[in-house]
Amino acid sequence: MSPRLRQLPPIAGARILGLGSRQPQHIVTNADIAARGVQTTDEWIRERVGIVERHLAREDESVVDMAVDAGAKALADAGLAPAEIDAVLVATCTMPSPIPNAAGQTAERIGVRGAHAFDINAACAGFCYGLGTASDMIRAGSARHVLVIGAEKLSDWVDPTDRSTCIIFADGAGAVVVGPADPDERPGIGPIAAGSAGDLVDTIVVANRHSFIRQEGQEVYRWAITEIAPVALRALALAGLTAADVDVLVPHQANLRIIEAIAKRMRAAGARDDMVVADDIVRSGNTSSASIPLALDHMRAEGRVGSGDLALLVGFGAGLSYAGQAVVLP
Amino acid sequence: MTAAAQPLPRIGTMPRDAGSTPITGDRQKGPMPVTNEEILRGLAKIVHEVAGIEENEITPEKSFVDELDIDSLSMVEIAVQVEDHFGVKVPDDVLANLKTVGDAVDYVAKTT
Repeated sequence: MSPRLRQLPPIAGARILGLGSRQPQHIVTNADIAARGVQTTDEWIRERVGIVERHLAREDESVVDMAVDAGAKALADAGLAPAEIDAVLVATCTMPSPIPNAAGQTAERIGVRGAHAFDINAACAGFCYGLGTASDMIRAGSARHVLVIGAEKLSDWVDPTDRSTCIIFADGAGAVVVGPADPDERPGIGPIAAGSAGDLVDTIVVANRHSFIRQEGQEVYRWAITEIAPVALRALALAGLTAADVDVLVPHQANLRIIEAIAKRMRAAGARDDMVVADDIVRSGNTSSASIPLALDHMRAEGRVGSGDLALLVGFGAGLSYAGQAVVLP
Repeated sequence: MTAAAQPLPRIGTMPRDAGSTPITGDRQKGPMPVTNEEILRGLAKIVHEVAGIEENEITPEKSFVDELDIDSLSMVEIAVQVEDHFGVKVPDDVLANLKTVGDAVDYVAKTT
């Protein structure tokens, strides 16, 4: 007879306790890109992707630098000390090398010692995968407080002369602290709706360590406008909610037209007219796994969202991979 | 909006074997059209909705890109809606060859 393994007592639910972000100071406008000799115009970029400007990191500003700053701010926002964090998860797909990972260095620099520390690479879906993993870890009893960070330096992997990518991708980091919901409180993070479309693997690729990001824009666009709204609706259904419950829709900030297409489908499914739709891409560009927490933090600073709001998050990108969940904002 | 005064929305936790049944979106299949005129009317409605062009401007000889000034992403949106409405497949390689409104009507007519 095999030995009986004990499990830790499960916890009913997790919630987001704090939020923080970091954007590089250097702003690149559409006119700056055109002035560099790239064959494009401000009007074309605004029409096709909706971006007006983006932030790019300096040569000496790394993924980990941004992750540390965003993570420390989220900790302060949650009112927790580094010693209270027992897991650090960094969603990233733009580290300069595969080892060491970002999470271990980030934890060390924030002052979190001896914690679980691992990276998640699900490209632009990475933050939602990280949030889902954090929630599951807390519910299973393997961690009490988890710092989840999306951090990217896409400018390292973009050909500055490729007009199909250099206008889109940008740098930044966003972070949340996740902890247990109070026993008498409802959970603040719903079940994850996630999956992958491996048949479309070739549509967003960095071929090897000497290559840049290459994207089949039209194919990815079609996939995003048809397949992602159903993922968002599935996340709501798993949480026992409907589209009318959503206060703020935060899709990955890939392209303003994709965001609008998803919002339109959400409204057709019953979302309210006053549902706030994240449009942080306009000023921040596409920052992959950082885009959702960046958008949340910016919208909170602007007063467009508040504590207790129900936010529907959905990430999607290379892999192709996707993930989403409903959350209550801290 | 903030909801400080309202109760927090109830977020359920997933039943152990909930599976992952996809939720159907807002797609609606229209009735199967029989004439080219009906296809044109359905297509014009879609083009109007996606690109904001008046339906009476959308005539068979007009080219999508050069005359109606529709960009490639809007063409993808039109293709997706044509697929939903007429129940046909419009893959990217086919879409690239649909230069005029008439090309699209003929494609739908021969594919339905």
